Amino acid sequence: MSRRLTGLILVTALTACGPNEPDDYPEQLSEWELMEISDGPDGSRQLVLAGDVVPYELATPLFSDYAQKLRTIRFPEDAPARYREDEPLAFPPGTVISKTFYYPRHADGSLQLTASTAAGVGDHSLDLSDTALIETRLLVRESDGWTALPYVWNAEQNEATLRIQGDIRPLAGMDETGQTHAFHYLVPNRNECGSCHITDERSGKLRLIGPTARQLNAVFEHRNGASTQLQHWAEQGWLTGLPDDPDSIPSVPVWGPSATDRTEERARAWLDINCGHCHRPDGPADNSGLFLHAAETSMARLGRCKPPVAAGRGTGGNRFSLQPGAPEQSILYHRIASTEPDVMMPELGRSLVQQEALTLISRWIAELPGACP
Amino acid sequence: MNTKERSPSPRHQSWRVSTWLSLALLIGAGLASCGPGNRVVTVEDVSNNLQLALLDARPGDIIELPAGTFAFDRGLTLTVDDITLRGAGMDETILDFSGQVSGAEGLLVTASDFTIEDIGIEDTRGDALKVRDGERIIIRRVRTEWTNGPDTDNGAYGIYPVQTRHTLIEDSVAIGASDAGIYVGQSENVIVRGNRASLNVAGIEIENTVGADVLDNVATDNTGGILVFNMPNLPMEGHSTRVFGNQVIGNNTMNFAPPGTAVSSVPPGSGIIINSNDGVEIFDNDIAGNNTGNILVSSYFSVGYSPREATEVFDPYPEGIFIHDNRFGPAGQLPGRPELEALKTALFGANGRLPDILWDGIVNPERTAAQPPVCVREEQAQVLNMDAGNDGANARVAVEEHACQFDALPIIELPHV
Repeated sequence: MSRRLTGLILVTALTACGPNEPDDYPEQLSEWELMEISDGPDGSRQLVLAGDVVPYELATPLFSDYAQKLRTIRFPEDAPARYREDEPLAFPPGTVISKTFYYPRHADGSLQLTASTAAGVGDHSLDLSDTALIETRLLVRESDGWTALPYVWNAEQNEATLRIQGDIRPLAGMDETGQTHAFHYLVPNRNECGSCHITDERSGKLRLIGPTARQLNAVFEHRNGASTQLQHWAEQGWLTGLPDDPDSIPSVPVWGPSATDRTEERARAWLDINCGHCHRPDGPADNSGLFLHAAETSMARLGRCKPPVAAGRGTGGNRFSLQPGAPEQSILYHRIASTEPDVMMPELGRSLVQQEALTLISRWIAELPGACP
Repeated sequence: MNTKERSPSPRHQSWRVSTWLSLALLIGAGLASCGPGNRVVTVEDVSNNLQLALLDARPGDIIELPAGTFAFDRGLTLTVDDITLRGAGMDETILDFSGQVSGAEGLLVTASDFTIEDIGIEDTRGDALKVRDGERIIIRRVRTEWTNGPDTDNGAYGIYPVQTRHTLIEDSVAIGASDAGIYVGQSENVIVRGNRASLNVAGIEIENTVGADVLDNVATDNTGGILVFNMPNLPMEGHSTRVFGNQVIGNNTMNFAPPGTAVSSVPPGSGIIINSNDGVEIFDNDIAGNNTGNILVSSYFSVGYSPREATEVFDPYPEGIFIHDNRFGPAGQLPGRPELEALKTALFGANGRLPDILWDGIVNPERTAAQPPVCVREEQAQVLNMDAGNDGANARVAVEEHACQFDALPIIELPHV
């Protein structure tokens, strides 16, 4: 704390109240005992999850500059999460969710920018010999709500340190076509965490985005075989209230760069997880009148022939969010294709274009029927 | 399941103790004398520490910045209520975002009871100062500027409160925005006074806002000086804006807005524009030297605004517009749109000029009120009814048909000022 306050002078000549809410969280990630760095028998270094930490995956995740994500959850003892059909599962106080962002390296040491995933829920360890750990974000469920804590990995790759002010890391990587990209990787500060996770402006509280029934309702390999994560969690006693009829549980298609079917479903799933946390009726982008969350049913509110409101340069000279049949004349496409800070969407958390998503959204818009006036 | 006892913060207690110890060392006896008053936090090494100060702020804090120019590579955010952020002057304490690589704003505030004073914000990639979803906001002596002058690549908005309630913007300066210098969107109960807006596309824009007083401002060298707009498909529709005591002079800068934006349709040379808004009172202004027209009143469907689909509930017709007791100088001699130039030549000759007040003449076909939607009480100014709904077939100077008045709108009062 004293280090963090260097440069801030608290003038105490006034009758000042002391801070009433110190950030009493561990400075080091290791203190959470979620994972540890260890040397394997062959000398290779491993990130190994603690025994009570459960890795999980989302069917269609948020894009973060091609970073791979190791997601884990630690359930509190004897307090299972509760199933909810549309909202994120209700997790009890004591739950700790982690997301570790990392890149596999090419043989030449450059970072791999690839759409395919490296780890699965069956993996309780991560080989670090050809991996760059960037950051681990925690969401901690306290009795009064969630708290976001960004930890940044050190150069030695053996510890991560709490950095509530976030960071910008200049990185370089190579995509699958061999093209190199230099980019600014953003570690969000605590407020920037909220820019996505405060999805309900009225409550002002952090909410989960990923762990919804629909995102977890896909079959994955895990230690005890293969089933949906929801079933697995229910069997382990970590989840209550799961409907008996699996067909009554919502699902989204599994994200995959090579998939070509179910264009609309995959496009809506991608929009929901990448955009819907802000573009929803109670979200911070409601002033745009554009709603991209999964529950939206109106094509007008999804942007069909919808003029911009305060998009500024974000329009790219286009008149409508979605111009049916014409992706490149659609503002939505233009903003997904941009990397300029005031044009691109999402506004935060990427400085590269997700080409696979652009292809998907392009196909979706191209298939929309009709025309705008 | 594991059997180990666990709390979310494993070393909660020991860490809390060390935190309090270090804090107590840092701020000394101040901690003990806890009473009414505000903590003053002076930020040194502003580029590195301002965001941390905003994150660590407690309600009631006054965060002070020294004079100097401070560079940032990412946008700043504040979410804590009841914070005052104060510099040493809008030309002395400068937040420089010319190297910004992340963030759609320079400073984004989502909090209530926020005051910002005496700070300059320069060259942000997107909006300079955005305040969203807060109440009792004060923006005072703040300068937002793109230092390269008009450029389509400049950020959209300079001073940008949106979805706020009880908002004061005063004695501030906005220069070079590629949309609006001062833009109040979807807000309630607003005063915009004593500001200067120049070299923006729109100098000052009040949009989808209920209850705004725009007074004593100077809007000059913008594409359009002061705009009162309603846009469709938004959560709230605006009405009740008073525009008075302003200097709206020589707004003839070419339109450099990105194509596709609403203001890209603003003709260069526009003084005050009312579009689709209701209950607007324009009085006691000095309006001159605007080459298209001093005052333009239009519906959503006319004067070249790109054809747009509106929801059925949207009211595109300006109504209850009352223009009176302004002072007009020469204007309208060089309309910034070909069809207006043609109209001018046809009605007033090549060397003539358009009247001070231009109305598109489009009236809601379902309107039953006897009163016309636009009333004018001016000694000299004339109204040109452009009859835009009929391609100008019956365009005419109209005086008598606007000789009417509406009740004065209420004065805006702010509970926190």
